Amino acid sequence: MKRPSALPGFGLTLGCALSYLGLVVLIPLSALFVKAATLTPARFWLSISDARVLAAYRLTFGAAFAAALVNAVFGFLVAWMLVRYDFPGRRLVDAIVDLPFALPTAVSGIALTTIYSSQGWIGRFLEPLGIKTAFSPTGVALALTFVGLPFVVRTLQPVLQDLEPELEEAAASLGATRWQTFARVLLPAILPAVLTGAGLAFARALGEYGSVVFISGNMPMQTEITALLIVTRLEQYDYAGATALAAVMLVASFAVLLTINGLQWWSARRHGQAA
Amino acid sequence: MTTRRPLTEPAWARRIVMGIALAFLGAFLVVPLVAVFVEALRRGVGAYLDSLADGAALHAITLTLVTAAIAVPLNLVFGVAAAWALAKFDFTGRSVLIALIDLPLAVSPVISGLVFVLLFGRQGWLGPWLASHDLQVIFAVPGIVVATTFVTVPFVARQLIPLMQAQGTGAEEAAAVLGAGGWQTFRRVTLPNVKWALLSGVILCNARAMGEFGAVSVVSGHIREQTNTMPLHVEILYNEYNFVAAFAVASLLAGLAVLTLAVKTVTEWKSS
Amino acid sequence: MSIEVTAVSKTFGDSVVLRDVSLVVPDGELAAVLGPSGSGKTTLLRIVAGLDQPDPGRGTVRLDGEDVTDTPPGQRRVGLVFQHYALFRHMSVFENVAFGLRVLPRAGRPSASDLRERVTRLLHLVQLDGLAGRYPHQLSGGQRQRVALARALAIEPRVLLLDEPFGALDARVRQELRRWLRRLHDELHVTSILVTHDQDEALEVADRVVVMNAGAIEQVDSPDDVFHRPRTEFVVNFLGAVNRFAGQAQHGRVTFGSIALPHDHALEGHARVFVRPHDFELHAAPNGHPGVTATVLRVHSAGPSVRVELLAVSGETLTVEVSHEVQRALDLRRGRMVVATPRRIQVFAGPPRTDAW
Repeated sequence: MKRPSALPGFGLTLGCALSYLGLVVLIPLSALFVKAATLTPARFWLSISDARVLAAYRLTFGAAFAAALVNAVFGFLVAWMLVRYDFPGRRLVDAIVDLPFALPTAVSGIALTTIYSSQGWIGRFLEPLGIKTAFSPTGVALALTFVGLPFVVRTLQPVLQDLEPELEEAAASLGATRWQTFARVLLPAILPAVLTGAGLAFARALGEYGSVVFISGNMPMQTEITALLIVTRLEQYDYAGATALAAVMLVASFAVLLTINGLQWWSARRHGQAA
Repeated sequence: MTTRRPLTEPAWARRIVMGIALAFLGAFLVVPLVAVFVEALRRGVGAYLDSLADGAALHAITLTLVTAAIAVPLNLVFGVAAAWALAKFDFTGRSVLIALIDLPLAVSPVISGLVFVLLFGRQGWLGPWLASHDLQVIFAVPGIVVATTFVTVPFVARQLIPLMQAQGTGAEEAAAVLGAGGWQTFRRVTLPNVKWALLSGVILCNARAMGEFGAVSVVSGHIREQTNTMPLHVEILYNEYNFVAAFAVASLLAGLAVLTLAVKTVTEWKSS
Repeated sequence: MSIEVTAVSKTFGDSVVLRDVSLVVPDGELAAVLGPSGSGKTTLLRIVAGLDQPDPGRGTVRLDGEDVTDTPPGQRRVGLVFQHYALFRHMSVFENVAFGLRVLPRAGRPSASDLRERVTRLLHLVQLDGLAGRYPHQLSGGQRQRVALARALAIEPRVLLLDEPFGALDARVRQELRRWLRRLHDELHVTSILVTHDQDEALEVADRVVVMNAGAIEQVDSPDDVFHRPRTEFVVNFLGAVNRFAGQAQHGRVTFGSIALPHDHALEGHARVFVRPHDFELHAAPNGHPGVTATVLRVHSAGPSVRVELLAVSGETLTVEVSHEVQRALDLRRGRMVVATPRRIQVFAGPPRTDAW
């Protein structure tokens, strides 16, 4: 719908917004790519592919993927429960899902470390079972699960809400069991939203720092995440090396976000509306 | 009107789903939150209060508040301006602008700090110029403020834009026809319609501004009593094994988080 | 496959939605349940479908004599068609129609070729050949509803239940589909219940019309009887426009306005008289015919017949429907004086109502 520009303030607000954005966001970000470009291709490649870096990639991507997977499954259950079931305290539970968005990462970092350390609240039960959580890749995955928890839930809730009851009624009248209705009708309808939410959680987890650096133990080649490696290089004044790594991380994040957008576009085309 | 209830699964299945979901939330959300307060009070209220009254802690609290007091209003003005331009007008590049606003969210906090080191650090673009004027941004308070502002740019805008878009331009156009000027229209027509979203955006922006860790960690230099915000102070205390003090300061931030969630819930309830 | 609803009551929270409702739809008939929103018609359909249950101990549902009150919908073999189609968006037309066959227990499931043959036959029946590979969002509203119908018919249902199936469609598509549904029913003879608030639809499509109001059935009759021989006041008011008068009944005559007419109902006392717009005859005034003398207020002649608004000398406004010939003959225009003579009236006992008339 074309809106006439009869309202005042267009030039002023757009101008302000663009200059602010340019100054605060775009110029600083471009500094990154300019700096990255000063490296020779050979040095750039070395910077982003030595053994320590590769170990960091494996850990970061692996833990982020595992966390996204866990959040996809359990986040679905949480969203289902919040939308479909009524129980005392539902509002409270719904509100607390956003805690990872509101809680500073350093606070969640030290809290999770304390809980999962070998004398910790939960750690002391896992230790005898041989499950090491703090100072291990598992701990990293746990922290990333915390960080990404709201994404799947919040992406799914509106989709579940908008599912017409008639779909399930139609399936039931056609003879489908409850499980068949779920597997053949409901799940395919919400799968794009689950994937979007998991994708967002994954993108977030890739770059996470504060929640992870306490619980991981930061041992090079074992529990060092990419973000920490960037900080380490900065502290050693290896600006170029840090920048190269940062460029890789940014590209990876954008690739994930582009994939998510692509998924939504494909889903809209195939099924006639947004996920 | 008859109420339609979707067909539902058998009671035992419901109980299992709820059990798993609540256990998951309990383990990942409730336990850490409770742990913060329990650990903070492990040596009693006296030790708790002493940790907060400590000089370094007080300085960290002050710096955090000052940083938020600068970053939040700046991003509030930006958010309002951007939302007005995007929601009330049609122009090419709208979707690009919206994507750009979301950029800081897609960037790792560490990278958010890195770019300012590259810009203002001693070897950065403006490094020499700053040095010659005896100005310091990195490893000083200005750097912290700038990095925090960068990271919190999207928050107010993201709350306002969808709402203002959904509300359309009808009311504002009516006001314009009746002779109201731009500022008047905004103050009397638009603002009352978006006040809850605005409050929500501000409170989220503030929570992030006060709690930012990664970006600030990179630019601050961790100099005690000079460039430590509350999250950084928590880190220092924890790494010194001063757990009670670390959790004491953390509990303030956790309390802020709970307050943020409460305000957010209230604004959502009020605006529906 | 007959449908028998016996003494069904249903309460949701504080409101009583169905009060002791009983209905029989004989085998092979298409019954339209007609009523305003809130009349309980959809709830009645859902109870027949098994999506809702009557209040415990308050009523039974029988399909062909078999008590299915406690049987879940999937086991009743009923075909359901919804107002908003409820097609499975992520499945093609073919898969939608095949759904009921695919979820059959292993033992009863048709082979792949058998299934394909059946689905193709159904798509042919609903005149959607060639669209098997399309997805719902690529279809028009009318096409989607036909897919929904084919899907419901795939399981060879004992009864077909349609909940305002054409409500979401344009007026023209609605009419076409209405007629098409009737022809389909004539071909298949599946016992059907169609719920609607559109009286034209009910009167045109159904073998019998069930008029419902506030949780109870007002009348069950053929469309002709329901329209021309309404048994309750609600039915008169609901079906078509009507003029209302307050009158008196005495000794086999009823008087209202300046008219006195013989009426062979054993009615005494206050009476409410209803006359349909097309049941008035118009004559030039003055003349000897008994009738209401009135002035013409407005003439609407854009349509198959002419609608005339009159202001009676006694103060009431009347709406009368006449043919174009009559309008020409009487030169009807604003200000003309005419006499409106009722040819057919409906009379019910009771003093004039001051509420929403």
